[in-house]
Amino acid sequence: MDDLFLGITYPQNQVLIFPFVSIHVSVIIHVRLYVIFDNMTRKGFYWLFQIAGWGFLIFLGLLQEFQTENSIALRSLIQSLIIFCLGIGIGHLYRYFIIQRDWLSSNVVKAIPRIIFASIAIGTIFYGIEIIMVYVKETAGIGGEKDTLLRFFGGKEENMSTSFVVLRLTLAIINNALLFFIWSVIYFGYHFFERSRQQEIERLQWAASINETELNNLKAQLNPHFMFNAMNSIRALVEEDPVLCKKAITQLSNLLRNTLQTGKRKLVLIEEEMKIVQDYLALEKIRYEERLNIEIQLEDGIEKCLVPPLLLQTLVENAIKHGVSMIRKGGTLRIIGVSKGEYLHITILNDGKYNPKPAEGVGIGLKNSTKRLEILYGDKGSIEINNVDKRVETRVIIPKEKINRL
Amino acid sequence: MRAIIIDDERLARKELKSLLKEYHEIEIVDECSSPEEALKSIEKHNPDLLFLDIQMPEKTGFDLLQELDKSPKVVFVTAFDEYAVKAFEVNALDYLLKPVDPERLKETMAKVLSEDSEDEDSYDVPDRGILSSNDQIFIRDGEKCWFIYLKDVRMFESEGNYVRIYFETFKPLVLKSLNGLQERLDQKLFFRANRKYIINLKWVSHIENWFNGGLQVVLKDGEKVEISRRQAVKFKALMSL
Repeated sequence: MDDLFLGITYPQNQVLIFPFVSIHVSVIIHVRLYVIFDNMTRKGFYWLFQIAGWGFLIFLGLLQEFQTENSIALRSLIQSLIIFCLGIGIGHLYRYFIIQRDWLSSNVVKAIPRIIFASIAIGTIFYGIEIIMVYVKETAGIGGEKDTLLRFFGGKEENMSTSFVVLRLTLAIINNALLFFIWSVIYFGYHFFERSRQQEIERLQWAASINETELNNLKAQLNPHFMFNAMNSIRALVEEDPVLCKKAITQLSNLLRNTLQTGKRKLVLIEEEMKIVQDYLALEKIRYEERLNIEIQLEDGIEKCLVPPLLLQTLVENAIKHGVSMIRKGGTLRIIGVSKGEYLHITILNDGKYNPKPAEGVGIGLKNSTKRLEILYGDKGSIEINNVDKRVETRVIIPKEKINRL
Repeated sequence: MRAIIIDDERLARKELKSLLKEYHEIEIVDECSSPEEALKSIEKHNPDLLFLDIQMPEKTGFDLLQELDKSPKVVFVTAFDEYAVKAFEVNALDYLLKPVDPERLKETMAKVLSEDSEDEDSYDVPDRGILSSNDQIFIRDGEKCWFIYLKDVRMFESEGNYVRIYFETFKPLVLKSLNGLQERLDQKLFFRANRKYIINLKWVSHIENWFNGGLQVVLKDGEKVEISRRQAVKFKALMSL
């Protein structure tokens, strides 16, 4: 790691190096932690925490005894072991309770009062079990000392006031409750941390899938096959019909500009979308000439409704690609748009036959469009393709929405 | 050279025609808007060269080539067809991308015309209908396509309704009958060894006597084919002076 800082030769800079090194180390620890988190099962991690936590607690108790008494009584060892087992056992029951009640799915604000309440309750139970144990020990005559039970309640003094006993009792319970509070904080903390990490991963995955859709759309928009064929026709038009040629160049530029611009928006007006579709169709008409007939019937008023950008364009392009372009004599492409109640029905009819099981690499346009509708409208939007007497009917149904959603 | 342009788009044909104007060696004898039309036209004009679009309605340019017994020289003219271009990993033919770059066309034409002058020096021109060793055939097996000279074929093997064609390191399978094929092949070059095989005599390395008066032929790449007794008699007659 030192060689990273070879450039720094002045001694006073040594001071500066330290934070860098420590940041570096902490990054490494961080990364390692992630690796451990990933490699260990969550259950394994839970048991490790349980054992390490309770182990550390009894270790502290025994250490204290060793420091004051200079030795550890067998009795204390057994007692520690019992506390160890009891702690793990009760902790495990507590975890079972948490899972049963589905506390983990709640947020932090809700979790805190629950944790405090649960800790006090368990602390009390824990203390109760301890008392029972001591009582059992005493009545069974195990252990050397007498009056242990009494000692539990605060001491050997005979003239203790009741309030003093209650205070001792409360402190003991709080002591136990604190243990389980820490237990809970670790347990919930781990889960909240894990959950936020999971959410981060999901967020990234979502972002990636959005990017992928955008990329696919872009690829679909700039269909190279169409582009080069259009250019080829335009090249031939230069001599044959210069006026039409100029018009075609304008249409191609408009088409390019509009697809690039509207592609970024969430929704566009049908009239904007139809402009793109018409530019596109005009160019295809130049290419296919009399083989392509176009009929467009849009109900008055729906041009101000909203559609996902390039949705119709993609479907029309599909219709040409799999319809008219595959038929020697050509055919008719019909676009019909009507509003039915809360919904818009846009139908694209073309001559040809729809094959529901396309070859590999085909059908991406349709798949993308379906996915886009799903993201935008859930189950309220749909695309259906059917063969209807020697023609292919592509029907898009989307909720009718006007400008205010933009 | 006599050429035919095959493209379903009128403007695309027109564009190519105008680009080809300056090549006086090329005579456009016909224009076709579909493979069906082209099939008739090819039979009628027997052209030396095809300018062929790949994506066309109902049939592709590949389908057309498959239906031809022997293929004229072919220059593919396509807009953007990575799959089609990919098909020619081996024996790649020339292809032009639309819109055609005049400079690129110049290179292609130079290649086509130089090959043409080589062909004029070549020998044996058999009867019409019979394929000569310098004829090219188009083969498609699944996704792969090849253009090969008949002289490069070592042998044909019958497999049911199909024929397996052995050349270079490939053995593609095509839907043809061995008997039908035999009729079209030059008998001096291709010999029916037995029910299953037709071998190219130019590829024979040596011949051994075999059981029952038959023969075994070893081809230059080591493949062994048995010649049946009946065919062995013919074979000896053919081979002797």
